[in-house]
Amino acid sequence: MKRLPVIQSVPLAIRAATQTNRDGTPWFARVFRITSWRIVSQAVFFGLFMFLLWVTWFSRLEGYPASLFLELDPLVTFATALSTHTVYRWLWRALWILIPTLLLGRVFCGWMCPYGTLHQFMGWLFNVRRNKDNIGVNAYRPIFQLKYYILTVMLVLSAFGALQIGLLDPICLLTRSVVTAIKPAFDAALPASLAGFAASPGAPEPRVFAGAWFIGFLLIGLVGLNLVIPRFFCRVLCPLGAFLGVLSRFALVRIDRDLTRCTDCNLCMRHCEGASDPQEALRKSECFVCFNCIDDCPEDALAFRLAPVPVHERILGSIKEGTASLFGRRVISKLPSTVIGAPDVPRRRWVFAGLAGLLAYPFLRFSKAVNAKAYSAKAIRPPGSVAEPEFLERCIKCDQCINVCPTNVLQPSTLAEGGLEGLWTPVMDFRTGFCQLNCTLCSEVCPTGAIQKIDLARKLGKEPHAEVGPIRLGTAFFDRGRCLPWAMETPCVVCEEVCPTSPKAIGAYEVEVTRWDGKKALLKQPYMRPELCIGCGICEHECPVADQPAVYVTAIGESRSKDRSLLLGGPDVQKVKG
Amino acid sequence: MLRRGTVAKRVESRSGVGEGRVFIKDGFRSYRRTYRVGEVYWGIGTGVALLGIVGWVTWKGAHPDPSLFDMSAALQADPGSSSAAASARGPLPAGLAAGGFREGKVGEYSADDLYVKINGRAGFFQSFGVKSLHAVTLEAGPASEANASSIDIEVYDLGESRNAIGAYNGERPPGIESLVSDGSTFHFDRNAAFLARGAYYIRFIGSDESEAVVAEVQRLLELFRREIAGAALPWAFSLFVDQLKLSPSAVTYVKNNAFSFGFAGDVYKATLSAADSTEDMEAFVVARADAESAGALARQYQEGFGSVGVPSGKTRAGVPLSKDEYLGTFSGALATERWVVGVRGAPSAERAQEILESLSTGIGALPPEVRARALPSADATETPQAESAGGSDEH
Amino acid sequence: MSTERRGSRHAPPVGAPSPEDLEQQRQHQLLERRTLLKQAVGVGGACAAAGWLSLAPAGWPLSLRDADGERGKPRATVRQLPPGGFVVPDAPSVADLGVAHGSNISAMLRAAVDAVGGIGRFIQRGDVVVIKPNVAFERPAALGATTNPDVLVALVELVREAGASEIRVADNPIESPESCFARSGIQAAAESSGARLYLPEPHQFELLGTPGATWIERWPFFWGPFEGANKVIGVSPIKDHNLCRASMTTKNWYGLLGGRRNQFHQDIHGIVADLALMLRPTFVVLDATRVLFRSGPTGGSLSDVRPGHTLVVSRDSLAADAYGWDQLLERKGEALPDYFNQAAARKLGQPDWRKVVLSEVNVG
Repeated sequence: MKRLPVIQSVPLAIRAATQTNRDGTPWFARVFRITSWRIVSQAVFFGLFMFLLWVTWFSRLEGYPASLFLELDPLVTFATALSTHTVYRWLWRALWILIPTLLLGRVFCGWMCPYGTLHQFMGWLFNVRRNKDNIGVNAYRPIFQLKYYILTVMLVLSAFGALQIGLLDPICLLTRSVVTAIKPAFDAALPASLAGFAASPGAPEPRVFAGAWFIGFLLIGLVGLNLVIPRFFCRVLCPLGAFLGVLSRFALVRIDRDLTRCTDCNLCMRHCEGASDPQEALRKSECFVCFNCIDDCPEDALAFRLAPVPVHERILGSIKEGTASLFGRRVISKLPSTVIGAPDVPRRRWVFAGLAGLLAYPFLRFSKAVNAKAYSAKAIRPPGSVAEPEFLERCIKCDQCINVCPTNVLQPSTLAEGGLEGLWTPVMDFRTGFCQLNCTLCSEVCPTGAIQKIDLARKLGKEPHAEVGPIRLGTAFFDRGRCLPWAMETPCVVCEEVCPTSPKAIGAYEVEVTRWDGKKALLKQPYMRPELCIGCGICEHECPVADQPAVYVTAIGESRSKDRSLLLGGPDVQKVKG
Repeated sequence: MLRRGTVAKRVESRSGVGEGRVFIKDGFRSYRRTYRVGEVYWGIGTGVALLGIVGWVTWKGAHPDPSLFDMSAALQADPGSSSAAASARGPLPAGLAAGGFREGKVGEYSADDLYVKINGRAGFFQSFGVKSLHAVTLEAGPASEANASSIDIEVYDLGESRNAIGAYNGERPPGIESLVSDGSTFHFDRNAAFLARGAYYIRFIGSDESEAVVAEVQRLLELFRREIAGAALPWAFSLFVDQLKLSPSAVTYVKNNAFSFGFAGDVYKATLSAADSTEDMEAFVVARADAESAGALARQYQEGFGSVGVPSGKTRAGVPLSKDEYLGTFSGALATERWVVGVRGAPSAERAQEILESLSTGIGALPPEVRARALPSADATETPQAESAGGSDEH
Repeated sequence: MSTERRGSRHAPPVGAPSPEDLEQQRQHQLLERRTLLKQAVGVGGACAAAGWLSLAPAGWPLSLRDADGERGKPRATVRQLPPGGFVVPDAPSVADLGVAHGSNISAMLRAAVDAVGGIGRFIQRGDVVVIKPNVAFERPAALGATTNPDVLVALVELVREAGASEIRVADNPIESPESCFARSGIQAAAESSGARLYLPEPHQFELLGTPGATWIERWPFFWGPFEGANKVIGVSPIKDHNLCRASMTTKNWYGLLGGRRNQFHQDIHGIVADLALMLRPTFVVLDATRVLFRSGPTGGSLSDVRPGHTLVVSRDSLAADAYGWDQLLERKGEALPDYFNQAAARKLGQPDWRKVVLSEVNVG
């Protein structure tokens, strides 16, 4: 059996690493060349991203900027600014990405994006192609335009108030995948002795998420597509990449090909992450600034340099006849053009994408689930959520709220609750959890203000919010046909026990009933005081009729919008005195 | 396309057929020929930036937003709940139970549900603007013992020391002198003690006159004198006690409806006749915000006295005196600076004049510090009519 | 593999085979036979092994046979707590119920424990002690729905002074465990006093057998902290309860169970009596520093709480609870909840606290 080359002896490896380079530069100029630093940067950002998702938990959150990557995402900021005409809380942080993009191009994609790092790493690890094929798969393809159409459709939708970027924005997509699919799998795989490192430590039951299978399979599928086309997602689908690609046409610094050195060998395509054609005219909008082409160029023809103006007009003589020269040196390359600034999308196709977005809006909005006329009774939003139309303007489906929720009540909406427009937005399922009275964590981590930052006093309706009253998520109802004391003369009232309001919103009539067998029994039969109910759903969660609870919360009566109030007097009904 | 073929051949010749992709022998194969130390510097710059970011995140993590985990709102009393207070214990000091007594539950009442505790007497305290009542019973001996002796403690928070003095004196039976010391006004009455201190009026009532109970009542009185926040005696004590040399026990405060006049609120009065005499002569003083309103109020008093008597001349200073139709006593009031002083029930016109003059002189001699706090009571001046209406059923 | 290489070495000869070629052919046939035999043995062996695994009777080694489907069902091991519980021997000369009034919690606890024989009677050097507070809800301690952390700290210190080698604090709250422990102050109390906190993670639960119990003869139990423990102390707040009327030290054991606890309310008194049977503690502390006198067991408002200034310590949780019912919840006139009678019928305690020896002290 062949010895695995990685198992070399350490001294040998050190000696190999510290050899002086052939050009006479010291060994560290090779070992610590720019691509090594790129890998360090990718590792740090990927680690930071995962760490921040890992600390998004009650006992770990402390002051960590848990949603930092979502706030850094310029597409999130731009699209929510389009839909809401405001920039929420920390979203200005996107400037930290925007500014380098305008100067250096898509450095975010090559150096920072954790999803890009995942794709690059997986593509590298499972790449079994020979070099010839590597060069082939890294050639630019027209299908790469698709991301610009996706971006256009999404931005047009945003302008109408239907924010859909979260479906494909890489940060939202990866956050959602990690939260709903990876973290539960991680916890299941973790041995009991390491329970302290679990993604959800102290959770009494494994966490479950609606449609986690689909989100998980989507992740596997998108990562798997790297085997077909390297960085398939980044090149073909990524709306953030498209957005940065459009911006990077203004970049002053770019990969520049020296026509007097380039032999047109195409080796630079071997590891080109963006398929940005460095061997010919660099497509600035596609280049991830990964610097692999510099590593792969045997002629030192490529460099990352200030090159705002293309040079081909300075070429004297004829390339065909081999007499061309540039600044007095002979031009070797047969391909004179060195850069294409704008994305390769014809104007008519931009228009088509825009029209598609225009049409998509009514298709989405006039579907039943999200329409004010027929909203889903189970589309119960987390505390602090703004009214539904504004919510849809803001929610990027990143599912950070779902991540931090200690009780597992928050679930990514399926098509049933939210329709396509509300897909993967947070809704409450009281069979998996309940809204804990003194908890406001989801409002803290929401990057876009779909769940506004609230403090506990606001949630509970204490001073200085006493006038407004507590936040109500919905209203609980009794199904007397399934309730044990009502339907089966069996004592219960767990719902009353756990009702957290003071005074309790659930009370019980003490009644003496004559049972079917003629025996008399004293029973407590529960009733609801809707003016006190805050819709937290702990009654539904604890109801022993577990599969279809005899007390259940629906969205009616939620205090975030007057349209959905239940009792006369709106969401701020007068609190009754106990 | 012709080029592609050449390239492929060249690549194969360089890397060989069995090019391993996952486990590569000699590092990352690149075709690069030259390297630049400058990249290392750029890299170090990147590394520093990365460290900075990680450091910033760590720093942020170590400095959480205190409001995020702030639970104080959960402890806020419900808005609208009448028993709103930070602590159910209110002003009750710790360590009440000692000497074989143990503390029962603390009852807390507001102005609205005071009647629950003291039915029939709630109006009296309401007339002094009671804020809350904390009541607790100390029981002697173990809980198993029935009919053990006990001491009831009631702490009335009246908001201001003048109200506390007023309530205290309103409850004090005639003939019992109060002791005044160090901001506390108090007296014993067999197995009970009564204390006005700061804004509080406190009653200690033992269940029997046993030695243990009386000793405990005394201990409690001392404890409360120590523990309850005191306040300086109201400014009028300076006038009556320091200037006119009256006993502090004689001075009291009437929040409203003094002398059964609807307009007469915020009145300090001092009994001038001896306790055992049949006379009922009183001097009084009211602070106003300015001389103008003092003058107006003085006229109201003059008219008021006039309405229950007949005009009976004027003093040297021109203050009209009235003689009561039935008792034959003389009454009068005058404004001096921004104060209104008066006398009621004087046996003779001369005596009335003499008292009015000494009051005016006394006002003039008030030290500046006392003048500064000799202000009208806020609630008494704002809504005198409503106040008097509320308290009138007590008289 | 090797055949290919050999074949490729020479170009195929033209014309009749030479002797060398025939020798080659013979060798190749030998190799084929060897390969055939090897494969036949391998396949036969695999078939025999598969047959053994699937057909050998159930008792035989390596047998996987499951003719009726019963063998394949999961079987849980049933754990047992020590037969006599965690009870310490009787001591006739001291009181059964120690009651301390006052405001210095540490002194009160010491006085109450001293009244029933002192901590040395209950905890010996090297003991592994489980302390079970009530942390059912995510409430600040001031709301009276959870055990006062100060009492827990005092208790842990007392137990440590007696020489306990390990002190474990465990509860299975109704709301999210981490939040409940943190917000109630119990986590900080346990950590500051050096006790080990157990969170009710799924792997901590085992099936517990309680012979003689009506409902919970087998029920998932918070076993983790009880592994190797030999003393158990319950420390419970005194609370009104909507269904069983009062939640005190006996009902406190509810928090050691997992599974479908929400079924318990169908016979809550029977369940609480079962709990008294399931866990015979070393002693219990009734924490009446705060009394949640209404809106229980959740509370939620300071107006539902009043100070009690009392700690009760007893080996007999029924007597402690009965004292609490009469004297601290002040429901003297009302009949005791039914679980007292059910538990007393099983001789699990004395629900008439006036019949036990009581020692009452006032501490500054």
